[in-house]
Amino acid sequence: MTNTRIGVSGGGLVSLRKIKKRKDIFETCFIILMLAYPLLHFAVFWGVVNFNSIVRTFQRYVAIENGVVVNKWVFAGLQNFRNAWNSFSTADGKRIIINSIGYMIVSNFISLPLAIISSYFLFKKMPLAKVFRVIFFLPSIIPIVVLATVYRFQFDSQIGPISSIFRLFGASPPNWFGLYPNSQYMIYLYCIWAGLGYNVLLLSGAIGRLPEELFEYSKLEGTPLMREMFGIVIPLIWPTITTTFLLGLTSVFGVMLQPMMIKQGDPMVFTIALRIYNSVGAANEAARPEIIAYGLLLSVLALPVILLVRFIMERIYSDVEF
Amino acid sequence: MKKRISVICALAFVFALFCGTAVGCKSESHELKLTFYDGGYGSAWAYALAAKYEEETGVHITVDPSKTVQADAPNMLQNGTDSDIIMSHGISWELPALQGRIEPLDDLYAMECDGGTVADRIVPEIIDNGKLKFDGKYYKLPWTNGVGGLVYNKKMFDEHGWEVPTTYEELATLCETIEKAAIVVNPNAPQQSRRTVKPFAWSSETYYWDYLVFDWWAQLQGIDGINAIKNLESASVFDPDGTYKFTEALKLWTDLIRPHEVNGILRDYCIEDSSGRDYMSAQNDFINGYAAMMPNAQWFESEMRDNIDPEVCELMMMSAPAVPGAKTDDNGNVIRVSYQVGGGDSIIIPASAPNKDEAKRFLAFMMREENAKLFTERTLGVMLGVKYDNLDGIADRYLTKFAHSVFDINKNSVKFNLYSQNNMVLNNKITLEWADTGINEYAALAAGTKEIKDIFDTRYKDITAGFDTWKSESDAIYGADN
Amino acid sequence: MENTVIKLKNVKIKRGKSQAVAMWIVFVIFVIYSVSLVFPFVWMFLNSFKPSTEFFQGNIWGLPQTWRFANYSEIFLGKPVVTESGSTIITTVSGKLFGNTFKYSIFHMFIVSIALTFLCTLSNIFFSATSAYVVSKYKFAGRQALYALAIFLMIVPIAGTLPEQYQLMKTFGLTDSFFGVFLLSSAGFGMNFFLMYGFFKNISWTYAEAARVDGAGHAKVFFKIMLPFAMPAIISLAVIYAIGIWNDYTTPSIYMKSMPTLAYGLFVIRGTLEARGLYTQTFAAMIIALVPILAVFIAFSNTIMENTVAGGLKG
Repeated sequence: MTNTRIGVSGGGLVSLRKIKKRKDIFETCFIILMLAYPLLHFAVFWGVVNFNSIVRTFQRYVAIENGVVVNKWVFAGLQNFRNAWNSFSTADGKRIIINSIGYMIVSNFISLPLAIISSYFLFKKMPLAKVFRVIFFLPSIIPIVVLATVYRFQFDSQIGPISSIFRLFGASPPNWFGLYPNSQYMIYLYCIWAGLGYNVLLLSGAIGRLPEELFEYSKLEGTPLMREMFGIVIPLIWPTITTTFLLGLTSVFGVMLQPMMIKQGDPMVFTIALRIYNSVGAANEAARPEIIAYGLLLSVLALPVILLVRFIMERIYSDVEF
Repeated sequence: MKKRISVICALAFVFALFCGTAVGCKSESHELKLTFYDGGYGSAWAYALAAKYEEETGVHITVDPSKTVQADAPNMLQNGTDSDIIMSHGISWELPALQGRIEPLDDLYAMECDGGTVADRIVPEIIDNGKLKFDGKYYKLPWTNGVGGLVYNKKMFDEHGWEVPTTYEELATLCETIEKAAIVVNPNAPQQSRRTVKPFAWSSETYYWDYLVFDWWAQLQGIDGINAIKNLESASVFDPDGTYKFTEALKLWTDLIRPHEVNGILRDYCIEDSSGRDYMSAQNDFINGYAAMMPNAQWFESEMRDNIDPEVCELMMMSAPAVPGAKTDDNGNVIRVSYQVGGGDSIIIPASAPNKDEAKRFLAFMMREENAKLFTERTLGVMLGVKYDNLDGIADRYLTKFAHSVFDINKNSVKFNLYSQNNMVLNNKITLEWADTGINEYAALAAGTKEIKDIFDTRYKDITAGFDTWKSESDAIYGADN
Repeated sequence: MENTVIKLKNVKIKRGKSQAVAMWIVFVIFVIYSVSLVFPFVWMFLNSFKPSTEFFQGNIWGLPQTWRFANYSEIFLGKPVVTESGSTIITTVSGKLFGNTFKYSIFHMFIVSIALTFLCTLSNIFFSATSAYVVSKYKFAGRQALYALAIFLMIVPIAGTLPEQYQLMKTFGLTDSFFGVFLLSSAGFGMNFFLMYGFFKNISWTYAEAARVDGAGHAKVFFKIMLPFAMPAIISLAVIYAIGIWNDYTTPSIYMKSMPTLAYGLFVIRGTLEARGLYTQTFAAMIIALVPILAVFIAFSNTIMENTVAGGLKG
């Protein structure tokens, strides 16, 4: 990110040293104290967990051996990775990945642009801007189960208001949730509907930070709104857009609540995260290594993509910072 | 700002107090704790049985209905629990049993009950095919002896003189009759939202159709055939061009449910957008007279009793209509079969339970016929997996027509289930009916977006490709000869 | 809000008609979107007063023919735990708080959610601040590595480690505990570290130098000077983080089962009530749950909105 490069030279320690030449023992203690807990936490909850996960992927469970109950883990070679890899190419495996990637596309190429446009217009002294912003924010604080319930009811074919509107015009409402992929599209729509406000809020923050002179100048010039948005606003809030975009990429691995709440366990709309979540605490310990291998393998495959996107995004508009 | 933060701090403090007191109160003394799935059966039965047991023995039972017990069960077994008995569907108990997390019940099975043993009380087909043992020991009791299939609105049938179909052809004819009649349910509603009675209501919980289609499958395959599939000798048991009859049963279903032409008119026998509706809305449609039949199971009346208007709806369950090609007995009569809904439902005692002996005594008590009847009474017709000679002794106000119909089906059919302890099934590699991820395709088949052949050809191909690897990997966990 | 400060009123606007039209089109879209966000709740509120049967028999739009305030009172005051028909009433707000009903009281869920959100946010923000401050302002071996690590953690999602995290928590005996969830969130090298690193980096060191000359220790410089400087940024990060914790379903559903938060507990309540066909009571339960949320939101809305707007997400 651009801002992190700016100001590195301003690090205070060099000047501090001028005051105090001798290596300060207190300083070392201070650094250790400040870092101790975060590092410990990291070592345990990231380090140990990841280490265990990797070890586990090379193991398999044996409950009965030669007719005797043994209950032990043994070395499994690449069996779990092979199974995980094979599961990508089954119909179910493909659908899970496609469903998951869909969230990334929706959040980065539909939600994000909509949010940029929305925050720009809110910023341009839209009447009731403040009211809108509060209303848009509501989905962010209302528990998802409530939101998902009302959303689903709006589309019920017999009692839902939206289907009633269809019927009022003599049309029969489509099969919203019953059939895949319709059900999946409806979940994507939910994500846009419920998630827009939050992004608007973040981006409004970034736009609000821009120097007002820029806009006064462009207004005097009579720059069209579109050109102002694409020529000034977007380049200037690019770091925020980059971050939001990168977080959107990770939704491939993160989304699970929306399908879970809206379609309540329908395997057609499973995502990667939901598949992993469902295996947690399950009685079948023997299945654990394969699910971990599945997750790790996907992470490894995604890594170059994420790094590449980051590399490209950062070079589109560089060195702008407000 | 500071003020607000102090408000939050105060709240956090109050909360901390809460936690403190809560922990103190949690260790409420009880002699036995019964945790069970809080679903369609309700919890009245548990309170009734607990009261009776306390009267008889003086032992107090803490009744703990839980909506999440199925998901919690693995943790309860792994991490310890104060529940003495767990009753739920969907408990994978075999591996935890090997790991010593579940109490073996062989002594319970040998305990005295109604003049014989507990084992004698259990329905023979469940003892034979219910897979109650693992590694040579009993670890679970069956919970219910479930009945599923088509539930119909008797009131509506009587009013219009419709006969309960006994064959598939009669069912198809009945559907057309209902459609032709075009009975408007809500004549006072505005034109565009007026609706006519449909033959079927169903919901996004499409697996309810299994309860009918599995019966058809077993009619075609025979109980022995079903049990052979459960053994998974080779991949070829799933060959849709071979002996596998599930596809035939499904074809009959698809022919009926998918919109199709009957005498030149396009007929859709289902309430609009059935596959997209949540099950409670669909069930309410049914009990409010918008449909004549609904695939459902023995808990239906108990689940809906607060909402049923007896003027509109009287529930009954019908035996699965006989399909063409169904197996017959020596006299040429179709062999009546009934899928044991929830065949995998379990009653288990966690190894960490505080009072295992009392738990066993309670379960032996529950298996007695009079107490099984109390269960059936308070669940309006749900039957435990034990033998019932009759329904005598159940108070009239509980003994509904529905309860009778469930009893009749259990009494007059050969029960079967699809619960298998094959290593590949235990290892989640193969399921016996639908896809291995639990996807059933009723919605797509009804809508015509998928064909049976494509679904099952693909599945057969996947199973053939994976079979040997799955078998060896699964055998490596549970032992080859298990 | 900074953006509202912009003084454009006295500038003659020279923009085309088409732009005014665009503005109004967007305005209309915003109105529709806002209605779509608010309407379902009005609909739910209205239906929460009907008997379930009335709702399912087709009165979906109108005012209740029979006002069934019991939908609220039953949930709010609690009813006998079980009726003869087997309906279990699972929520009490002011009724029994202990025993079986304890874990499902909406009031309790709300308190748990507030406490969890507050404590997790506080710890995460605090530890992110300490680590970010040290890494950005002090020179020591390994600081580059720590920074690289933070970037790595932020952008690379590692999927599939949840099962082993659960096993670890099991080892600590924290599979059903408030403290466990709190512990998990008290990390210092997540996303917040990275953002706070940026803030500290940009804060001038001059004040710190002056204070050091006056004899202030390292800790004093951090707590008395740097932390207050970074406070606006910290608050905005805290708000965003708090929203995440508030809405988190996953972690409490795994590690805090017997002490549900609103996000998880309402899911269980919905399931229990809907399984009895008590939809209108489900709506009532949800409305009851929304009231305190909205109350807190209104009380803090300025803090939340202004700080999020002022700080925003800085990449």
